[in-house]
Amino acid sequence: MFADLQARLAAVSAPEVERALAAHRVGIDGLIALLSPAADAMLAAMAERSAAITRQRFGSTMQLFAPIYLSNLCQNRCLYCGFSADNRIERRVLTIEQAEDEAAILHDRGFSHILLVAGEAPNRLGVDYLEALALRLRDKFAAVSMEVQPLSTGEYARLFKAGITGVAVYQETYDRGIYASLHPPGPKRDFDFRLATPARAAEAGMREVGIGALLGLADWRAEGVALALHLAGLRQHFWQTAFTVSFPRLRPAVGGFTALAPVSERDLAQLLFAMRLFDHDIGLLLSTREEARFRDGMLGLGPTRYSAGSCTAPGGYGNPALPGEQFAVGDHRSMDEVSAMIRQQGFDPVRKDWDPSFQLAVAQSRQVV
Amino acid sequence: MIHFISTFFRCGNRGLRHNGRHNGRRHQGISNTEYRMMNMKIICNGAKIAVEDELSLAMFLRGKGLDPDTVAVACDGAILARETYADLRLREGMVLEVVRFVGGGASC
Amino acid sequence: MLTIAGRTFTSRLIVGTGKFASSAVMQAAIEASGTGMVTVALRRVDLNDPGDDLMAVLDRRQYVFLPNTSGARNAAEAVRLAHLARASGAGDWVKLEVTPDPRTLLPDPVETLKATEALVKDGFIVLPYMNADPILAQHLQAAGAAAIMPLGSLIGTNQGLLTRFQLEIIIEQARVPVVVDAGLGAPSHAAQAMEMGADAVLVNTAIAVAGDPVRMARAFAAAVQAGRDAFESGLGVTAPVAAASSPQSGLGFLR
Repeated sequence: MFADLQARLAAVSAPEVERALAAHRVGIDGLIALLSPAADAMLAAMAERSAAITRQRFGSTMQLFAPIYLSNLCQNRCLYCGFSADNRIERRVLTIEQAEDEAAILHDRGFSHILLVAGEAPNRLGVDYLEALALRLRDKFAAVSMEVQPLSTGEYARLFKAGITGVAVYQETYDRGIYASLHPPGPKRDFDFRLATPARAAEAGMREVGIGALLGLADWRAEGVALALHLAGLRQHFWQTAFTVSFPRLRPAVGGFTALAPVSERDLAQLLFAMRLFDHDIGLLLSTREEARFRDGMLGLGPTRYSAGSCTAPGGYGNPALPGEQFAVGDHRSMDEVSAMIRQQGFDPVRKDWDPSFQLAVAQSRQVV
Repeated sequence: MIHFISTFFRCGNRGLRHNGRHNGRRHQGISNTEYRMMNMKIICNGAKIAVEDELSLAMFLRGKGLDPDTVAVACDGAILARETYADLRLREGMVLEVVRFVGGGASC
Repeated sequence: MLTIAGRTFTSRLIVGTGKFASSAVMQAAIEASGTGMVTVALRRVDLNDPGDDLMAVLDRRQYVFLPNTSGARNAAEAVRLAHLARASGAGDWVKLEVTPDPRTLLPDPVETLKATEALVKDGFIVLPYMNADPILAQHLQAAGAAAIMPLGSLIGTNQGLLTRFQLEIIIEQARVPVVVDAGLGAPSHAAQAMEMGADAVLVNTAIAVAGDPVRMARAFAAAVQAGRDAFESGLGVTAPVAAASSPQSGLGFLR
């Protein structure tokens, strides 16, 4: 599929890109045009259009959140990840109390939206743990999302009831061949099970579902098309779910994995603008993987949510010296510093965009699958 | 078969298309013998109709100039399966609804 | 090819059979339209004067009869009519019309959804007539509707696609065929609906009450074809604002 896509992308002409830029509604054909090499010459126009749509739909705002890394223990051996079981790093699984302590720090810093992240190790950190933690955190934060191993619909429903409102799960790469080469035998090797995970989360009633590809594994233009197709399919079936797309870009990590298909900042910008033109309502995330200069420049051009002050080592908020991080952060600024930058540029940093009382009502009324 | 018209039924529904055929039948004189044969009364489409004893539904419909394959019949509220038309005997007091497709519809 | 519930049709114009001056004119107009499906109503037979049998005038082998539940004011009445229609030998297809307000003839969303759920359970192929409400469209599809039929404007008002902004959303989100129905007063309206991506249109009044129904039927057929061809060719869409040729946004921060 990727080979066909790449051929198609390479064949796009300038007039096609212009048509896509001017289109009232951009379909898959238009998206392909916007992701093509030919569109690079019109990047500034894409930025302008992306900014206009984003402003219309989201206003001059930027949502802020922070991740809490619950553990860096992982049963998978993904070649590109710092948490790979093959890497010798200091492994840590936070107890529920320790996780609560980390959360308290974030709460004091002013965060209201948090993302629970864990390596995939169900035996040590499974649904019972997540459920127990969610119940303790739900009243302290407006929204608690999670990025952990793929779960079943029933498990997602259970966690939704406990207070988790969002699920993020990234396909890593939509190219089956490359996916297979990067994931040695183990649970994560099942491409289709992972692909169907966002649908299971939506089916279970999760308010928000996030998808993405790890940029740098395969040709980013083809990944973009695959992402759009995945998104369109999910939207068709789960019309009541809010969706987001993240753009994690490979960063230096333990294991020394280098990107197979490097993605420049310019490439990332084009991908992000194209997604915005394709879907006016999608949330677009940039994490602290990206450098401050880049994130500052992108403000208002398409992204709607930034993480801030992130620590990717479990327990790292309480103890910043702790090793065992997933990747090296690019933007080291604190929540306050990022907020100040946002305000300085004439935007409103949004710390709270939901309320746990809504979640309680929704969870109680919802039928558990 | 002698047709016996007792009441004049009006169909005043919206969108119903009437053809150009001349309306009305003349009241026909019948003998006493024939009258005894038609001593059963049923209600069909809101009108009281006298019919023969032991008349089957299929024969009744044909007698009215209707092809049984083109109408639907509800008897005492229940919609009948077409296969039963030939065997169903009309009985005193039966309430029939006979409908069929006509041109029309509200949303046009 | 238009496909609804597994059945294909070469024509994307569906025609209603009401309001024609005579069955001869109706038959000729329907023939001229090239349609493969006509909507029909169910009424009591006038036993004093059975009249022409519609099924004798229109060949059931040439046109699919799509019975509608016109006259129904609530779900129960619509369900009953549907069952009667099925008993009349029309098959399992039914166009669901629940119109409690005789003045506006607007479809009742609540009763329509209820009836759709009930009829789908009873094995019907349900095509519900609905107001152009995108959320209602989602519910009807979830209930199992085989197609959805949102209105363009009020029946008989000939105002065309007053609901086009909602229709756009419905068409974009639809997982089943969308048949725009009601209010299409001119062939250009039908063409516009097809250009927007509708799968088919239903026209009755505009053809039946035209001075020359046969010619008007041909005009609608041409318009539906034109609109569909345009849609499939990839229309050059208009931009809401002019795309700047020398934009201001600086991308100098990119490395």
